[in-house]
Amino acid sequence: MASADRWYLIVITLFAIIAFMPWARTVEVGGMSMFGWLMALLMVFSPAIALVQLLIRKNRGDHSDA
Amino acid sequence: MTLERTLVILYLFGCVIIGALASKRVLASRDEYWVAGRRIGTWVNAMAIMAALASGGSIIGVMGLAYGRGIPYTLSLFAGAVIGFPLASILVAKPLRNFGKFTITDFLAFRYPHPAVRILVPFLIVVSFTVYIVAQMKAAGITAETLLGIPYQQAVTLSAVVFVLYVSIGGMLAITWTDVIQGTLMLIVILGTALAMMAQNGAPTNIIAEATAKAPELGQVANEPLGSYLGLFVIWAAAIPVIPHIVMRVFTAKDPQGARLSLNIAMVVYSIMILAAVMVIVPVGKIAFPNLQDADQVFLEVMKYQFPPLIRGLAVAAVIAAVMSTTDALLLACSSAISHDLLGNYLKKHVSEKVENRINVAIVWVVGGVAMLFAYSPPKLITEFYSAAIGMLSAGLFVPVVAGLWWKKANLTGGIASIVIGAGVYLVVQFSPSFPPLSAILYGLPASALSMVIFSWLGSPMAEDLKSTIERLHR
Repeated sequence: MASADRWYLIVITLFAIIAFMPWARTVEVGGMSMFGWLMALLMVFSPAIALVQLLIRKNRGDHSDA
Repeated sequence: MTLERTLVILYLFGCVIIGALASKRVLASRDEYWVAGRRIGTWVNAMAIMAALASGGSIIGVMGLAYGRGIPYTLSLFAGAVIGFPLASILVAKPLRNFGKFTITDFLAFRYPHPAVRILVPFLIVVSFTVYIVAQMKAAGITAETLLGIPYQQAVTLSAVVFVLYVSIGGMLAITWTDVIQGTLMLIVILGTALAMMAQNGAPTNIIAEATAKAPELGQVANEPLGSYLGLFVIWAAAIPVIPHIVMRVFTAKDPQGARLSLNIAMVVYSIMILAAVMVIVPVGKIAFPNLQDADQVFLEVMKYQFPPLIRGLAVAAVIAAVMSTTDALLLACSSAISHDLLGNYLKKHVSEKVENRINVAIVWVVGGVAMLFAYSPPKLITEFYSAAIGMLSAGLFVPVVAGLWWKKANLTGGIASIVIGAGVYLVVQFSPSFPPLSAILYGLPASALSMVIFSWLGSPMAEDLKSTIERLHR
């Protein structure tokens, strides 16, 4: 597995763990729990980062694991 | 109703025409029927993946779930699905595309060579996908009932006949062509509706603040136990890399890189659509219709009372498109599970490819008919209903697929044990009243992983030629 993929999986997993922590469920921002906002952020950034990472590797001609 | 009905009839007729056109190419060959000749380009494949996942559940169900159980609960499901895409892209897309067969069962039967695999895996797929199809048919039925005034059972029957017809005659090629149209239609309607609402009510943060001031439960986590939130997240994160109708899309890609790229593009489009639905349309719906009996009706009520007939017609077409784009892929995956995975070896020896494809057509009709009968008595909250069914697939298949690709010590004993014990523990917990709803995956998945480790340790190591083939899949 490419190291970029490995790091991506680690960061996403850590983010998900933080989102499911008890404090994220009790704190509310703008009427919605922080957990909800973190899930929404995950839905925006996770795909965007994965796509950018893949396109960068494609442009570099790195087909080792893409 | 005339304009709406005309639009929907034109749309359905178009889908059948596409199926008929595609049938000329696909019925002659196994490769053409199941994986569209393996020559689908990246953007088309991405749109088809997005449309296959964005089901009636993703339009009717997602909004019903958010309305009934709150936005955070719903986002935990869809964030799980979004995480599932990079998991699929990183863990399975390249090696499975290099494997070059038709189905997830093909890979598992090759990696864990035992006749039981060709019975167990199709069984899990057919059971869970039939439940999934029933939920889709409910979405089609209530949409046509609410917005077109067609009685529920007639609407279910009509939609079932149309999509069974074009799947059965057009195979994967028809599904791909129609999925692109259906995906585009869904995007236009959901994003268009959300933008129109934002023009009236301001940014999503304002809309959510206003809605949660009137209905605080919409933004809270308190509604369900933590196990249910985590369970929903994990079910979908683990499902995407192994769910057959998405994996079959990996096999249709031109090359491994195209397979990965199309998964990632699909994920971006899917996220935008779901967030627009949950964070804009649902809060507006909650303000306008705070006491709906059936939460799954929220989008339909919004369309019915706040938009003109032309937009309503497009909305019906979009919902039916969402239902069809998923149901067609599910029907094809069910059909492949029976005729290719379960009966494939027998059929290959005894009948020609053309006859085999005729049998596929018959199986599509049988599965569609059975699901239609169940859909006449529909479940509440369809997204929860089909998520529970998909959880069984995640619990039974995620570990054997991923370990089969990435863990050299995984062997036949471990593979079969992880399928049986993962799915078995999931079912026991799911039907036990003492566990939170949808939390069964939190027991099924670890049980599957633990079984893989323990039974692989007890069994014989993988054969050397199998090991070298698996290594070649990663190159």
